[in-house]
Amino acid sequence: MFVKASPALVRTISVFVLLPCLLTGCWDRIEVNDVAFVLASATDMDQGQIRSTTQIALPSSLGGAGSQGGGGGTSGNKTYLLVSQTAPTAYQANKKVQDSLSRVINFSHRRVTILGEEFAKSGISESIDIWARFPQNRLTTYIVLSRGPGYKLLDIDAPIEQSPSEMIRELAKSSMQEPISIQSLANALLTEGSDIALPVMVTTLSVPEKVANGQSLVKLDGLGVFHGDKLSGYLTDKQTPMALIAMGQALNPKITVVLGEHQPQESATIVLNQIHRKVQPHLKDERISFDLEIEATGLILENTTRQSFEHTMMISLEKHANALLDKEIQAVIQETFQKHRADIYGFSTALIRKYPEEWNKIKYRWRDLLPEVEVRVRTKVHLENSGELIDSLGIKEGLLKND
Amino acid sequence: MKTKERKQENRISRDLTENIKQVKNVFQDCSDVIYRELQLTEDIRGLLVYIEGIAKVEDVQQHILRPLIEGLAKHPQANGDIYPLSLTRISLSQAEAATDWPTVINGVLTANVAIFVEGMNEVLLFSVKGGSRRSVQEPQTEAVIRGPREGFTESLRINTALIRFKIKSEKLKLIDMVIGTMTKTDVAIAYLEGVAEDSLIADVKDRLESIDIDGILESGYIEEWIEDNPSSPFPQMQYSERPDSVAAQLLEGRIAIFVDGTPFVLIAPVTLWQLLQASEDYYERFFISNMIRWIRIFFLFLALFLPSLYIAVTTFHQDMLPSTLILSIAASREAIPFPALVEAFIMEISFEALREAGIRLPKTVGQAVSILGALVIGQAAVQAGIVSAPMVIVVSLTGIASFTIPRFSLAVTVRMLRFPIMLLASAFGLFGIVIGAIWIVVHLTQLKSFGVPYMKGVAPYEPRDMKDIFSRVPIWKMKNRPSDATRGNVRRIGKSRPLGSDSNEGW
Repeated sequence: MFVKASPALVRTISVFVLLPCLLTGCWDRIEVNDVAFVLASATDMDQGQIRSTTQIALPSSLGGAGSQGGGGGTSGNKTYLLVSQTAPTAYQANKKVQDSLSRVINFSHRRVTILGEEFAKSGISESIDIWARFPQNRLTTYIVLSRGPGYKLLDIDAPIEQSPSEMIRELAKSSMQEPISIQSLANALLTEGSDIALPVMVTTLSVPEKVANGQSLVKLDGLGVFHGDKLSGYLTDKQTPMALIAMGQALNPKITVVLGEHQPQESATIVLNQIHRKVQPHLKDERISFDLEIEATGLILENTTRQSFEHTMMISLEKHANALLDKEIQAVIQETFQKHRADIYGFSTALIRKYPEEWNKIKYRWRDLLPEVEVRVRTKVHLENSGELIDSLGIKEGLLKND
Repeated sequence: MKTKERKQENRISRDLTENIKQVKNVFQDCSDVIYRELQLTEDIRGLLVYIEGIAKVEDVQQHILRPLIEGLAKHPQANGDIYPLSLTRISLSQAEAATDWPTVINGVLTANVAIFVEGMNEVLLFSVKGGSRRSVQEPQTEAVIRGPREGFTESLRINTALIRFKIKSEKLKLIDMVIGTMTKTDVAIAYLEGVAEDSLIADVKDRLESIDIDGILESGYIEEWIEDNPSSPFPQMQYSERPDSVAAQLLEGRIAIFVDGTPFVLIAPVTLWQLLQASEDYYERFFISNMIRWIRIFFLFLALFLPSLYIAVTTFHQDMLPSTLILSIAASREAIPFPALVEAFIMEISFEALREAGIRLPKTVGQAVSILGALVIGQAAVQAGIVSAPMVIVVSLTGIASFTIPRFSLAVTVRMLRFPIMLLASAFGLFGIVIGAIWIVVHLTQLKSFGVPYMKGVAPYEPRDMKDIFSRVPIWKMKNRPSDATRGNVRRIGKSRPLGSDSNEGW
């Protein structure tokens, strides 16, 4: 029994017949094993040209189940491939990287990008342009600064993670409360008056050579302070927690307070778990000043003094800690203001909010005014408990008096 | 003129020998037809005809032959007037008299005993339905943990009785029909008067009457003949093997079509949501039922879209997965020679084949199939690098997901539809999946089952139906019958359940 096919049926059938024809040229279709996933990238300045270095995952040596074909070869057991090219601009450099690869580069899984020292000094805004232009670039990609060329960081062993990128990323994550990502970097650069500070990383050996044959790792090494979009200088490891506290970005900073004036080894280390920061701008007769109030609660981590901290002794420790923090924070703020003329603490934002009209008058001079800006720091540390499970071996307060 | 002649021909003759000749002619070469000559009185002879196997031989012997013979012994001369045999001698309840041949032959074929009497142009028919049929057993297709264990059988009357056991109301009506020119299958439409809509009943009756076919061997013949849209992949009638399920549907104002010879009873009209409900949803406490129902709905989507999502994400949107996940997928796909679509098709089709093989084979062989399948598809294919491990996970999850759908017919539909969606996904990525989903939704909103929109409750939106679509509220909160079938008699709960138990306090 043959029924004459209705036009609708003919149309439906022809859709099904024609659909496979489309399959021959699926425009955006790309199998996952034709993609080169960039895990991390570094941008450097190399003899006046931009050097782009990408760390590309080698899935076959990542050792997924069922991947029989080994990577191996000359690359050894490395789970990644480094490709580096130079070109006048960042995009052209990436293009050249692509030309030397058989797989299509995919930046969507780049979780960290490294700025080389020299490149950062020459200004980073032109590189931000391509970060924001391509949808493949994740805005949540962390940005770190490298002391020296950035590609050095990408070629470490980092055996503790699957790839060096992962180690750099995890360290960047632990560097501050809200690590700088492409998004926050762009925001900060676009905000009037404020500057950025990026975590700095250097390569290191897991153990000194005299101990054993170590493997190379990366470590955090202070903060890089930017003046506008150019790297101005570094804060040391010791200054970094103070700067971060002032920025409101500190992640459980550990602070060592020296108690005995005569014996510097007599110290107590405290950790500040909760830090609240309050900025009060003042404008009086063209003179700008700020009150920075910091309230923190913390615990005692280590006690190398001979004293046992009980309730009464805690207060004296708190006083020492307050004085130390006041002094150190004041010093680091003055250094960034005077040496780098950079406001990485968001003071300008507070000023804009309180004195919007006056700001308009000074905004072009703001960075030049910074060295004269006075900042008064008041810290209130509250130590909640001595953090001891058993009695301290230190001398009790009563006995100390008789000593 | 000719019709009259034929009518004349169809008439039962008064002459017994003529009738015997005729009946033996009709049932020529039918070895299962039994003829027994009778002596009703001293001068009246008769002939008893029945078919062995479908008639209950004990009934024939106990209630027909024995009283006749005893009657002959007691009243050898019954004055020639033995006509009301059914009243005077034969102790069987269902009796009728026929005057024409088609009725007689039909009667004999449907398990009646026909008695021809000398000098009478009427044939007496006594129903002695019997023969061996499967007894009531636990249904094979809709197993429950909690709930009645009885299932329908192949016998129509047992099936209607199972419903009558549950709904003891004169409002439960059964309309009999015979469909199939050869098979003469008994079909019964069941409904609750005053609950089911009159127009629905009339509609079902019309559609059943329009069936003109030589044989009905299963309710599926009827389903295909009377469903609204034969070219839709979605089932527009529900079938059930469970009397409790059918009774519940009748109480909700739907109609049931019983077909002799199959344990599957058709239910109409049907909505998509109804196909996602299992009878146990109403037997377990509502917390459990709700959670299970949500899992079912979630897995319905998985069964439909999971392989396509995998294809789309791995071939178009690698950005969408977490980095470590895409890297591990990339690692396991490294040595695979096929594109994701081909891989998915290989696995899905072999899964379907495996499932089909498992159903048709005897149970003992079926186990061998499942072992082979698990080994070949599961492990060896991955180790040989023909398919990747994530694809095996996706396919098995999809398989499990399709088995969570309580109605087999809908599960098959979903499994079928995922192939075109996979094609769309491989051609257009997520965009293709969205196109496919829209296509299905548009089709579903247009589909009707006996005049009821297929997505009734959601589209068109019906607030009171929401109590039994995505959730299952407590029984005492379901005050109304669903709107898709009943428009008149809506209320199903008289007085609400009192909350709290003040009266019982302080015992």
